[in-house]
Amino acid sequence: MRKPKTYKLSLMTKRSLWGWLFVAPFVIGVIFFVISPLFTSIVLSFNKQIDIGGGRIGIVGIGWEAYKYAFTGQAYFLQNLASSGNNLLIRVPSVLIFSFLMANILNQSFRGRTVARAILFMPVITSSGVAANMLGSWLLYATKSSVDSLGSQAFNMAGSIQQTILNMPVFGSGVGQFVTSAFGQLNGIVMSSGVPILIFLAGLQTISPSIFESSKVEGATPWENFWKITFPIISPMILVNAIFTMIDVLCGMGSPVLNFIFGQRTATGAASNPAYLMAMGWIYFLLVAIVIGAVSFVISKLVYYEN
Amino acid sequence: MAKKTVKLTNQIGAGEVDNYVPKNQSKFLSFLYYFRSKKFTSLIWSIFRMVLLLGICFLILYPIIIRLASSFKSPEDVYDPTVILIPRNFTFEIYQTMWKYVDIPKLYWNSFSSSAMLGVTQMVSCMFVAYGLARFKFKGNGLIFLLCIVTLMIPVQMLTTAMYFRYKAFNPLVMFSFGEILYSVPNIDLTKGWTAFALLSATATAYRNGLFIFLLRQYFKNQPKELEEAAYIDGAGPFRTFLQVMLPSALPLLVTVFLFAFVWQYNDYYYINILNSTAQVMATKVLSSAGSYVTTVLKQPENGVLRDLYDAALIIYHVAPLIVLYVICQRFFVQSIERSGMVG
Repeated sequence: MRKPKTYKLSLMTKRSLWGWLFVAPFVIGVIFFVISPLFTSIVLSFNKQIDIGGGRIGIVGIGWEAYKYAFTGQAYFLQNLASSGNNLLIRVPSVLIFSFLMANILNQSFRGRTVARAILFMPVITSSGVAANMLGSWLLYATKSSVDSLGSQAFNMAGSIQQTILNMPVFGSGVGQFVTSAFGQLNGIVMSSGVPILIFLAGLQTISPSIFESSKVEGATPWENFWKITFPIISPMILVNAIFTMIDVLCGMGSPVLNFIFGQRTATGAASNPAYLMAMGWIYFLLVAIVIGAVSFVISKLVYYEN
Repeated sequence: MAKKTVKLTNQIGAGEVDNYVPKNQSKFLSFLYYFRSKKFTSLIWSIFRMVLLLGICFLILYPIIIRLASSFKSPEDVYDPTVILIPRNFTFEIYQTMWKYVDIPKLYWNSFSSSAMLGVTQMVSCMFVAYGLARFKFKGNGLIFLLCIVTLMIPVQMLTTAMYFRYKAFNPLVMFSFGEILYSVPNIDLTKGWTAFALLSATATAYRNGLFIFLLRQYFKNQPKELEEAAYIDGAGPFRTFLQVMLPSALPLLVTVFLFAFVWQYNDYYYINILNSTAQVMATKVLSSAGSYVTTVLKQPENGVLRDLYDAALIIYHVAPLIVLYVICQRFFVQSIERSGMVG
């Protein structure tokens, strides 16, 4: 006769084997198509490629030279790193604020909501790859294209508005710069907040209206409602969105550092050697991992979980 | 006079303490209380909301509108300063020329077939992995989920550049060797055709598949346990339970995942440039200077105007199917995310 305990254990083992079977494709994929290229890139970052004749390419160990080169060999890496950091500081808070505002607006009922929703989510479609490249920077397009007269007018206007805001004595220089750079990037912010709006909206719809009813009976103002009810319930989505936006800004196709590093792939000369590119890529990847890890750790401490 | 004040308070709503109008108020002043009433603030708010939404919708639609408008223009309209958006000489000529000289049908076929196949493959592989992560407890479950998120963080450019060296001479046995990583070992070249893409999609490691796994996992995690248990008691194995009990309700989310996968594959030029550089698809054609190619072939003046018109038409050719697809799937898309029960 079987003991119940053994039976339970064997079921557990069976379940875990099924689990492994389901995730097997991903495990194989990660080993061959993620870890292997990463390993290759580490190897490449410590070895310089040289032409050994006959169309063959050999490698020579160079130690940490490529990593030193990233910081001391040329000025552009650090410069682009700084502009990426700047991007992060402006882009992430503004995308979060903007998408939260938009989600709140879309959560209200008004005429034309479906249309507004459909259009606001459209960047999910038009802000990736080629479409983003071609449609994204219309202000840039307006300045270089001969067919867009309206756009170039808008471009000039946007420039003068930006100047006016910068010249306003009301703002301190820091606030003024944040506001102007946020407005300068308005197009990019709108374009990258499709998914965040969606996630916030999903969160807002999980709040049951009866909570607001009872708080109204208790005499809470909308302001208190927002900080005491909406904000805590929505806080897990802030974490998800912060991570998503940081990944989008830092590792997306528009990242200045990555564009600089791997734009050199097609360049000629010593700097285009994969060793240098991979070394810079690794430094950047580690920095990104640290930043995202730290920020999500801090936010996750502040997040309120209902259960 | 007193009568009228009472009427006003009734209109505003008895519960509003803010809108309390003192009884001995003059008629003129009581009118001012309208500005503090709920009716007035909600009117102001709805105007503000409308302006904001219109502005943002315009910002999103503008790049498409301007290109749509210019693609119907004839060259004379571009020089005409009175023409801004609506062309005076409305013409399909630009579209016809592009259709003929850039071979749009062939590009469409290549793009659609490859994106659809790869999209479906990604959807299927991601749903299996997500279900495995959401519903089975095993050692390393958390680690694999963490890997999903980390794959999103690895710069695509670094990965693909390294991949190129591996895939140019793909040999599973020497994937982790130190030395012979380059072209010396006799191997299969994965950088021709769609092989590399098919492998990446089938193993759920293609572009942003970690996000799909995350979304689907979240959905499966929130499904009631009883559904599964009932199926097990009725004698279905885990595989059958998954396909027949858990999957049907996930259809809206699966459509969304397919939509994302399709669109990102359709728009992708980066992976294609590295892993299948000879492919003739819309995405790479839009980036190549197709406009100036056509003007050269047709021996038209190289002044940039026609080139810009051609490029505008090509972008519309590229985006139009996406917008049609989006309009069709839009309802699914919004519903599914709302129902997926996203929690941090």
